Amino acid sequence: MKECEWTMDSERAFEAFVKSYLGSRMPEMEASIAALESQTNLIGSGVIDSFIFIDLCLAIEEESRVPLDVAEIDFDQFSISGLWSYVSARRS
Amino acid sequence: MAAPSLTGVDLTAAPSLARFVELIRERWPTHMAFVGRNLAARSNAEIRFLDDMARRILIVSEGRTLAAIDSYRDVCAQYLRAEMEYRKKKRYVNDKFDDVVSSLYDHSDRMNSYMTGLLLSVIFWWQNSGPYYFLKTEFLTMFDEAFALVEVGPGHGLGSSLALELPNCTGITGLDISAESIAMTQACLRRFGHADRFFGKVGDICVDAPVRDADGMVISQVLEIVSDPVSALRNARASLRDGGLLFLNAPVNFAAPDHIRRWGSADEIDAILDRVGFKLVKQKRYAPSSIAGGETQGYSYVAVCSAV
Ligand SMILES: C[S@@+](CC[C@H](N)C(=O)[O-])C[C@H]1O[C@@H](n2cnc3c(N)ncnc32)[C@H](O)[C@@H]1O
Repeated sequence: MKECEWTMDSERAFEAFVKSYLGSRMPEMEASIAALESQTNLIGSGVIDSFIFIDLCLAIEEESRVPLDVAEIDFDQFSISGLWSYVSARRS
Repeated sequence: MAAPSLTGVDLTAAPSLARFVELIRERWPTHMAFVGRNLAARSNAEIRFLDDMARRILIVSEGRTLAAIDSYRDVCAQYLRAEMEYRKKKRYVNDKFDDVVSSLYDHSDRMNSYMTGLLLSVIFWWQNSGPYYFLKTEFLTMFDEAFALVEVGPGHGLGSSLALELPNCTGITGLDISAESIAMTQACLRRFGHADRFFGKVGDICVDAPVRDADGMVISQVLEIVSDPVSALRNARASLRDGGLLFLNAPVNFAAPDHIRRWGSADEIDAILDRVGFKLVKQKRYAPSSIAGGETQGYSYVAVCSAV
């Protein structure tokens, strides 16, 4: 995985972490990953599949130390902003 | 209903499948990318088969199709959770049948919803549909004459219904450790009009051979749940006549809320089959397309063996 500069203090930094992680996993998808909007459904848009999504959640969990129960997050929240809402709400 | 347009997939001749696709579009549009990719990978014959499975599922779900989509969505979430746990801990969430019973099977609401959700996975996840396709096209076609089958853990009865619609299938003994489960199979088969040749029996395949001299046996998605798989397969062998055929479908290396025993490779299963008196005739692996369309190292392992 690429070095990441996530300071966990804003959605922007979170977005940078997610994009950096996905970019390191799928370098061939660089352009689509860079173009991801914060509200875009990561799986529904077809950019990543559910297995990469799980890896992403594990990476977020490790980085944030927030336990992430994927079954608690609605599928419609599988976006950068949806994940950020989940993590930031449980971080304090 | 107009066939939904999915790039590269023509569902005009598949009305039941088209109905479920349309329901997914309505109820869970972000899942359409996965559905489209999955169906685009299927041949025309496979699409026809999936349509036939969808037709059966429409019968079983008795018009409660929207609730079925919601249950399916819930099952997808539970599978994601199970897979995440598995990646983290390198073991399945539950490691005892009793844990599965107390967390899932004993709660009729939860269990009904789980089984209904799983039904839809039979049309949308190729690792769950492929084994039925194999059962129909590669296993049931091996019986030239009249034959009697045993199915262990027949669940929603889709597998049994495929066999019972063949004129040369004289009957099926369905064995399940749970009386509730076997009652559900009977109810489903009644709706298909096949109940008269299905004989339900409550029992544990690890303890006894349910019959003797059967021509064929189906064990689908059970070997990862039983307490003692070696005894289960030994009793399967004892239920069959010499030369009788076993159809086995077991998940290798992929997690689900009710998978207990992790098979690390098909070789582990083959070794037991060989030990208890089966000779492998043919086999196939169906890799799961992930909920969005990728692949893992896990797969459904399907084997047809002859009792020697
Ligand atoms: C996941 S369902 C399989 C349903 C169906 N065969 C399929 O392929 O989807 C597993 C079934 O096996 C039954 N079962 C579990 N352990 C058993 C045992 N030791 N003997 C007989 N049935 C058993 C369970 O009660 C359950 O109904």
